[in-house]
Amino acid sequence: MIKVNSLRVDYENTNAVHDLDLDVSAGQIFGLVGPNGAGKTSTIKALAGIIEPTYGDIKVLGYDLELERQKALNRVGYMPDFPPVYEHLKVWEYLDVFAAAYNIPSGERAKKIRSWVARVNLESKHHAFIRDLSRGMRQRLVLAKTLIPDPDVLLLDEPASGLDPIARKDMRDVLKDVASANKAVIISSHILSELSDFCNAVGIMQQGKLLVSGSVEDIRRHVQSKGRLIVFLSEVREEMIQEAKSVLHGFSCVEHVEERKEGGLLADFSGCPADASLILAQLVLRKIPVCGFQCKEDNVEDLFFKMGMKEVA
Amino acid sequence: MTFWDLANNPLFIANWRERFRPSEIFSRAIVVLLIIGLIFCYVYFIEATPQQEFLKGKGPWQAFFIFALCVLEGYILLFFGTMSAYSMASREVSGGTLDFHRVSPTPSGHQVLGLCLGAVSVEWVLFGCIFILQLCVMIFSAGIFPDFFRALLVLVSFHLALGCCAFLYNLFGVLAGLMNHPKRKAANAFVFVVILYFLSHLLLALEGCYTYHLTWFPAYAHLSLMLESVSQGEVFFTGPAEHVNMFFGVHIPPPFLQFLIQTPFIIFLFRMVQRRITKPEHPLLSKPELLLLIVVVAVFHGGSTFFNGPGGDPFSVERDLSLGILVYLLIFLGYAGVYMATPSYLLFMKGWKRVRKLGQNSSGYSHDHSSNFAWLICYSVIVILAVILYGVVSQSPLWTCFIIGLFVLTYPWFFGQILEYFNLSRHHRSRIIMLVVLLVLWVFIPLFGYISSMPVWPETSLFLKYGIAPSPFFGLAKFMTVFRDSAETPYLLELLSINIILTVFAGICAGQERQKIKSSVVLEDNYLPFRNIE
Repeated sequence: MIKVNSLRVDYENTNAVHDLDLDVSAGQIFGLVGPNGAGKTSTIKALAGIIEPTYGDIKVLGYDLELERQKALNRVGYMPDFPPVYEHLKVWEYLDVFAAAYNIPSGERAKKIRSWVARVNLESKHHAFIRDLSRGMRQRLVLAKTLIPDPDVLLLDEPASGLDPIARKDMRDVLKDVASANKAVIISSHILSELSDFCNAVGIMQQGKLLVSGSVEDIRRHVQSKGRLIVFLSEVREEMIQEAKSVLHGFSCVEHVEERKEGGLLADFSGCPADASLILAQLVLRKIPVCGFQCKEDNVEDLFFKMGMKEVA
Repeated sequence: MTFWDLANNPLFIANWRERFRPSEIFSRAIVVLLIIGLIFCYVYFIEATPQQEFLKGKGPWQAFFIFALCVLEGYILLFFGTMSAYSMASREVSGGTLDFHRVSPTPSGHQVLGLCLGAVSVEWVLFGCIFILQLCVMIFSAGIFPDFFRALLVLVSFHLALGCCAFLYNLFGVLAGLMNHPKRKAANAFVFVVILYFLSHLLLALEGCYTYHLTWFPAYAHLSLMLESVSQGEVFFTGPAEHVNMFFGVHIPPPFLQFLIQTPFIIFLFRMVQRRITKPEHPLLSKPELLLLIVVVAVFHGGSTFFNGPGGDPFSVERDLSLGILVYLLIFLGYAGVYMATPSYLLFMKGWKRVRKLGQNSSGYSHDHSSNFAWLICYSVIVILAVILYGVVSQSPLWTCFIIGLFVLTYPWFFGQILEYFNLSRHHRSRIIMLVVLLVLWVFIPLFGYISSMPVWPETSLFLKYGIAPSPFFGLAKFMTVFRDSAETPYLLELLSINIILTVFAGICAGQERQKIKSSVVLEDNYLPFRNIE
């Protein structure tokens, strides 16, 4: 649904995005992760047609954004990182303005507005002035505005900034629903944890470059990421610890075994769940007093830091 | 949605709703009613009393009440309306809502109309209400007008003329608002220059220039016809000399002439706002549109200058003054045009990358991304034609006209080439260097020439003699004062040669920079493929 080839965005004095390739298909939620100034906003603005890229092809729903701009943008919803609103309008009036902008017939607007206002939990504010809304409410209002025309492609730039935890969860649910309706979503954030549990593909950006992209699993494999194995012991005796260490060292998928300050052992683990079961069984067979056993994988945040450090190195 | 379907125009709805809050309407309506009440009291109780010398013999109070309301309408629409248009447009940009409209399927023309009418909606409604009040006053006092229907026609045509003028001014306010960006100092400076230019027009307007019809003066001059019909004395606004309403020797009624002159400028301003919304990184007008604007201005200038003098005299103003105005107008248009027609570094680079993407060998000459060279050639053709036409009308020797034309052309050509060089070279991030170069050439060298030729040194210095050539302030002034003296022809040719040499040199430098960018674009196409997960 979105295909980007060799995208480059320059400003007067800086190169914001450099040689970026992307391919986001229907039903995919693609998370663009990166620190401030990585080029996420410029990428999303270029995809939304707000800034003209210096070079590169952007195809949205098969239409070239440069050559068939209007056709490409007709089915795109864009939400920027701060909520642009008309302060002196009421909530329903604001949504009505953009429903009109997307040629929704006036007879259908009221119904659609009511349903989306309910979906983003702003029912009680239907007739409230936008100037009286909090930052989070405005953010939800702009999300409703973006979704009203029922776009096939959603471009969301840090949509969760300013939202409280409940609103974030609601937003995640809304986006999952949208993606399940065979739509493509590109969402950027520097709050990594908010993307990891619902994005099915991630791209990590730094200094204008997309360092790596693909599914979280792909990236993990790409950076040869290791999970962590944590063994909790009920008795912290030296001979028990040494015994447990020797058991762990007996497996090739375990490296760097060390003692935890809180008690127990911590090791890098690159095996599969079956390997973890074998290790646990071996520990129990050797009568080591295991009271807890945890096999933890890197989340997107860990991967990001690994990628960043790898790149800097 | 059709063009005039304002009920479904998102920008109109947004601005209309924002401005039509009861509190805002109430406060404005109270202020306007108060002013109308004061005007009424002044006209009815003070000026209309027989003891007042001021109004004696001037006519009934109703006519002056209507006239005063017309002045109030002008203030509301032209001043407050333009201010509202400016502030609403600038808020659309700074608030970020304009970006939403940019990416929406609403056509850009609809967006311009919606923004221009929506932002000034309150003022238009007040204008309409006052007009209804005027009609009521007129109908209830129909007996005082010797020819009621003529007076009614004058009032209606005044409102049409004022409305047209207001639309022009409001569009200008919208454009200035859209360009007012805290990070775009150059754009802000450009708006400032254009405002100054407009203000200078107001001064010219009194001299019988076509720019008179870009102001609100014709509407009020036309309105004075209504007062004349009921007054035995002087009217408030007598209007300008008769030749102002002449166009190439043909008398055209003021409202029609005003529509004729304002309509193309409304179209150009509309187009500028449209491009500002759709292509904010591009110049306000495309290269062909810029040329068309120059032709339109030249035709209007010719129309207000030629054949409008008393007794069919070819000139309405003194001949040399007329030539001076023409020369400076063409140079100003040349400078402004070439400034907009010269691509920035990024725009030029984008153009070449686009050309390569489309598999072409060169970009079109009319494209925003292309060099200003072709534009300057077209501009030169217009200038030469304008000067030859002037020569035919004024019966001047064609050779003299040709030299004048060449001399005029060297200034925008040199500026265009040096601007393109600095825009495309590695100095494009530090404009100050170009400003210093221009200041040295245009101001410091001529001034140094004058200082070095002071009585202490008896002979005229070379700096004074030749250093003034590239300066549009000193060189052009010198040229205009001596070009009719045949003894000075060799000297003028020397000045012309200096300008041509400088232009060619700047052109070669600009050409090299163009070539460098083209080469870099070719090289960059061979970058390594992006690392991505399969």
